[in-house]
Amino acid sequence: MTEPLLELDDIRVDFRTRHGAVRAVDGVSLAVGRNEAVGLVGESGSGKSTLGRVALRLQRPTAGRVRFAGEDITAWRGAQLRTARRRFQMVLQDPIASLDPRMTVGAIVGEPLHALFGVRGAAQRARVAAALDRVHLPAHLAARYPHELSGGQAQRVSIARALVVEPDLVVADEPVSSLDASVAAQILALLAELKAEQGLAYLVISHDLSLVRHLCERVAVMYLGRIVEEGPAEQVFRSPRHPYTAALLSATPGARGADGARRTRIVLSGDLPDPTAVPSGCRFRTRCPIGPVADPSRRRCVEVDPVLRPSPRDRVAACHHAACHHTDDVGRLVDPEPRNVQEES
Amino acid sequence: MPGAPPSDALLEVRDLSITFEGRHGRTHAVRGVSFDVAAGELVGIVGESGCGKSVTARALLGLVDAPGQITDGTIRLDGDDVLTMDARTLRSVRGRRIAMVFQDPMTSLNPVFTVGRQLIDVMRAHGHPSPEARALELLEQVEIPAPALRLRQYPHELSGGMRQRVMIAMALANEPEVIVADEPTTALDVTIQAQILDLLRRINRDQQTAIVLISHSLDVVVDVAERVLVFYAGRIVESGPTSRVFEAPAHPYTRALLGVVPRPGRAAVEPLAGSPPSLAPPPAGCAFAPRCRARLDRCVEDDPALDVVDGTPGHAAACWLDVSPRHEPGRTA
Repeated sequence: MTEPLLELDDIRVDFRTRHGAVRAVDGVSLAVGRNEAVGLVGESGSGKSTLGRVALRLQRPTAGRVRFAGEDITAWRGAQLRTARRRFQMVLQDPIASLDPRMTVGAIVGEPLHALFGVRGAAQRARVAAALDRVHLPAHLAARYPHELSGGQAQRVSIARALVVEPDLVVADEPVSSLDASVAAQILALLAELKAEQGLAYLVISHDLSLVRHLCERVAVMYLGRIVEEGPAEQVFRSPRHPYTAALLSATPGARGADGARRTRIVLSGDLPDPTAVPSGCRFRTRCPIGPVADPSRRRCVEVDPVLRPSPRDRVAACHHAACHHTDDVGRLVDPEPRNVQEES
Repeated sequence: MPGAPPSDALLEVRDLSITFEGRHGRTHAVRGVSFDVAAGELVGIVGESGCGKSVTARALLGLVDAPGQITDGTIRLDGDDVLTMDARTLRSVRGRRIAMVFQDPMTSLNPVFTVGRQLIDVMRAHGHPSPEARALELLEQVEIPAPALRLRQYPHELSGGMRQRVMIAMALANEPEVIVADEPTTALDVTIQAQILDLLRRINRDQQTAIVLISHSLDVVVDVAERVLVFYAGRIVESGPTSRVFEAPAHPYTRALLGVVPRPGRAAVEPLAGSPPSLAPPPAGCAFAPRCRARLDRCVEDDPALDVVDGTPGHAAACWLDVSPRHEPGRTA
């Protein structure tokens, strides 16, 4: 990894609910380097969005530290926090709902300039026009209101709003999931272009593995408040070391393996466990296709909470970690009849 | 109709046209769509927002309400025209012979009644002799854990995946010949989506219930359906056996749609520029022409009809170009 820009260190977030305490994020560490794109993947309830909010300092962690460009910003507030906010911005899932319907596009994109830098008037208008141009929107759209925009245009506006203050990091929470495939592809291409041209770093939060695979160099997979696997995106997707990642990959519609053949579909049993009663030992064990449900002799999964560690099979790639006691079996799960590996390269 | 299966069709849609009256004039949402669904078949309909797929699905159950209006065409279910049925006959057909599963189970289920009550009501409406016993059996059939408990619970007490299973159980309750599922997995997480698609496939196989699966995702359909219809701007632009359409797409729109989905081993996503045209009124020529890289002069003036793609029975595309797969550049015959 390049020099770290954002560092999340042992983050824990507890929520009190009517049904008891929920640990939405349970001791997660993650870093994003300069000009690096990191994907945070998981399903509803995995804690990925909460972690994204912690990174943006919109959610105060119960425990752990948030560092940005080397500075500990965990306890920053008020004016101090606003100076930090000049350097990280966000793009949300539903572009129409996240834009104020009573403001024009120009006012929406200009607002952070005013709020964070006090830039107004002609200087603001010039920077808004430049930001719209960067996301390939015509300048005359500045006079329009959100309801007059298509979904793709609205998402470009929210990207322009994030870019107008020239941040170093953009946290994008499901940036394309409410868009049609062809529009999503346009936004994806735009995000890739901005990263290359402006040197942006991204934390991309998504349930969509193909999006993350396309845009990110590194990926972390979350399940029930923990990162269960982390590593270089290509490597994690090519040879997942955690059974949950393998299942996610195989469940993605149209998923193809490294050789282009359709992957064996791993259908997980049941739903996510009740977050107020996280299973003992490995938290994935109640749905795991290679765990104690399939093989009751695997007591270790019930008794010992696995930590993130390199798979014994990847001695070279120490940056690829999985939290599973039986990483060696995951390969079999993905590809029951391994083909000759040399043929693939 | 070119590319149509033999006429033993269970569901036969001919020249269906639907318009919506709005402030900006009349939108031609569905423009002369024809297709068949055979008994026990699993057909997928794909397209992006506004292509007419959902309103077509609703028309199959006679559910098009004002300002929508069916201006032309017939929909026959085993020979009976759904569009000319009176309200009473329609009520007896819906749920009993053709049933629907909607995208969002939370808004389709009634929050103030238990799951069991809603299942039983669906069966009582069609005079089922022993709905209580059948309700339990249905929940078992859709593989809901602890079914007896679930019958007594309210929709909000179930997870999203379980609610969608309940919707499927309700659709199955009166053993219909056809189930129309409109984006049944869109609101669900991928691992749950895989479970639901698996369930639909099993119902289709084990009970020979025909299923029309509507999705915005070509990939969802590819994994499940035997045959696929690709909608664009209110028309079917390509239809055929799913594997064929996926491996040798004939219409430039289908090709683009396949091209924009990031896949392992594909270097860059090539976005399809622009967006679908306004259908108020629809363009004179091919609706895809403004976005088509291979556009001919003719395409702008003349709207092509669905025509058989050379070499494959049942594979059809609406395009003026020579779309035979052997002419595809970079492909060896």
